[in-house]
Amino acid sequence: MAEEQGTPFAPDRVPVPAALRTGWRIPLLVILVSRCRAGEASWAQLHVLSWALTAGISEAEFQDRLGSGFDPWDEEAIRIDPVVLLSVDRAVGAGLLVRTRSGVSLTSDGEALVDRLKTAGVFRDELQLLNSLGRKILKTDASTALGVSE
Amino acid sequence: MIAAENNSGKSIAMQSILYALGMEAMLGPRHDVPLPDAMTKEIAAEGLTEAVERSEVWLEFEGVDRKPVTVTRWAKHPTIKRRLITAWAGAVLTGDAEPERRDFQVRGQGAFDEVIGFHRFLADLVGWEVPLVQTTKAVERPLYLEYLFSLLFVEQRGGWSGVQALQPNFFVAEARERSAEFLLGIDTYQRQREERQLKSQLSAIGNSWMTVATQLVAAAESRGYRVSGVPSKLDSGITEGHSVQLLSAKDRETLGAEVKDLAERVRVAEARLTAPQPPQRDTEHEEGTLVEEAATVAVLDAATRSLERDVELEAETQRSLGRTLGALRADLRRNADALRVHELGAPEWSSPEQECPTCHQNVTDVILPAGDKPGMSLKDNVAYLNAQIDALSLLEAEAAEAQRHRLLSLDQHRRQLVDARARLRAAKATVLTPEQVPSAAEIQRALIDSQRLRELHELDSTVSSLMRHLVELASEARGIEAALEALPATLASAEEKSKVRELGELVREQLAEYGFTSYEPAEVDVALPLLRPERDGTPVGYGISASDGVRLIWAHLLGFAELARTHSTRHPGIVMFDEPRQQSAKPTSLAAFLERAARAAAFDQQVLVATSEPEESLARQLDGVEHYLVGFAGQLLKPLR
Repeated sequence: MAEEQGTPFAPDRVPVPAALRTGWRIPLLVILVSRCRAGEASWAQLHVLSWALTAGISEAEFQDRLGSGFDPWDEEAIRIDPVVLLSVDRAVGAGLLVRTRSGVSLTSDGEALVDRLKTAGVFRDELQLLNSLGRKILKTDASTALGVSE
Repeated sequence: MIAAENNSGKSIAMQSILYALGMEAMLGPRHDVPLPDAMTKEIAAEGLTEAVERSEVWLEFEGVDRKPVTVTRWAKHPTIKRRLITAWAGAVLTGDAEPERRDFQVRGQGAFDEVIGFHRFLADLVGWEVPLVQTTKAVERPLYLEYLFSLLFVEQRGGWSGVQALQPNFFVAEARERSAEFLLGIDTYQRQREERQLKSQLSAIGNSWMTVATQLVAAAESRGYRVSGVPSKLDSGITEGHSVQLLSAKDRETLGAEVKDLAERVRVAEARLTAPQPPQRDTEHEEGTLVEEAATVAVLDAATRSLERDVELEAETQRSLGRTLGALRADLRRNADALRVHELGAPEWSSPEQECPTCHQNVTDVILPAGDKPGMSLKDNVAYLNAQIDALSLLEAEAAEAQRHRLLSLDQHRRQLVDARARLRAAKATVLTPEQVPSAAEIQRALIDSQRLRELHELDSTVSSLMRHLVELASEARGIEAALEALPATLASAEEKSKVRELGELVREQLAEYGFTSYEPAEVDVALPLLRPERDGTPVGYGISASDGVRLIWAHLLGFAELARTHSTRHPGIVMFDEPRQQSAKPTSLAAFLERAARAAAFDQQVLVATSEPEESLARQLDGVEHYLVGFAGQLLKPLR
């Protein structure tokens, strides 16, 4: 009836967590990959580090989780996140990452984006956690935490 | 005018004035003696070269009261330090008398010492009350006289590089502006300073108020009372007699009512217990009391446990609310980051509507949509999160306040329970006690009431004392608010604005007379806060010819002196120029400058000029110009005969 009268209706828009937006996930992904050795990250590293940065936990809690191994009954265990996989698809499509045999690596566009993000004053909390972790998250550590083989 | 050939000693004479007055700091950070080797190392005269053992400078001048003063300072001496300046209250050079002498020190903060500071003495002679100004190190210092001298003296080597070019390095913030304001008699900075100080005092009173108000509330709550009528933040309207109410958290009974009630109970109990004959005991009543007290304990115990459960539940709700707020704030930060990333260059992959680079279908920036409804834009999301955070923060604050009252009530219940258990024990003891002895229950009640009465008297006294303090703070605040209200609405008064306008006119007039050609003199202005020649709001300096830069300095410094003839300023009435014909300024320009400078005599002002202009040229320029010429041939420094 409303349409017959020409009254426009638009569906209500719903709030979307930033963690589900490409504008947040893709930059986070390229930053993560840039912190892995030689700008290349395994799938396990991507899931483990993404989990750490989106869970908003401290370095001590993260190291504790990493060290305790994988327990499928633990509700707060580190798990494979489908959003990470979908984000990788979008980042690859945008030319920022490229798939490798065991994970992803940065393209030159991805490196350029990382450089721009460094001076933009964004992702402060996430960068602080990454800085405190350093390059300590080895591929084997990440695989063990997820309960997968590399 | 001091006229002589180059390298004959004119600048020695000019810089000796600076040195005698202790102003060498304006010439450079090393504060070296601004005199040549002839005064400090070796001197050549009549074919001989001799080492300098001692040399000194003498200067005679008048202060604002027209009384002569003579000063002397050693430039080189085997034992006497350069910091010493000796002053005589009289004309030692031109007079005969041996007037009273005093020693002072100069250089560094000591120059402004109350007793021995030479610059303090000099400021008093000139009639200057030197203000305190902010330094770049966030402390206040006097506006050192070296800063003011940059508007009174142009030194030959560095002084012509720009308006107020020479500045000492004493870290005074905005030194050029402060000096110009002071000499012109414009007190905008002092008014701003006064306003800052008043506001700072008001803020300190506000902090004291919050501390006292918090203490008052805490004192009342520790005795189970809530306070109303005491603002948590400064309220300068509070006066003596302001009504404050204390209500018990449970019964809403006023403090006065409870004190009156307790005092009566204590009086009656004391009368009964101290009576010569032991009071008659009613054993039936005592047994009844035992049953009642047991019931009271049971009721209070149940109420206390119920309250404890409520408090714990509410605490858990608050923790959950805290976690939700934390999550919302984290999401807000992430949304802000995503918005910032989009603003960096609006990359395709961050846009709300995108095209998949592989299959070219339309996709959005939402990676995993939840349901059919579209997602909000980033900006709308941020607005939504802010609204959520505001609403939940309000809930959190209200919940915290409610929990505070709940805790207060729990505290009171626990105390009442302790008292009730004590009364129950006393009632049990009473029933078991022989009839000839006063009942333990009655004694216990009397003790409890008496203790409570003492606590409430103390509370009353504490509240009264703290309220008196608040009334005093309010009174102080009213005084400061009145002082702030009395400050002028605009920083510069009408008279001060008039001075600035006229200074601009004087500068423009002179620039036209002196042949300023870099652009139209009419485009130059002088305005607050810079008080230096500017064009379109930018200080004039770059982009003009070097000779026009010199004309600008003539116009600016003479402008200050000329303004003092028609307005009340703090200019001392003297300006000094060492070699004003810099950068090959045209002789006609110099002639116009000298003619203008000569007008000072008619106003009891003085302009000192040292020049190496050839005699013939100088004579033409000074034709018809009132002047006093001191010329000399050869060297200024000669052996005495």
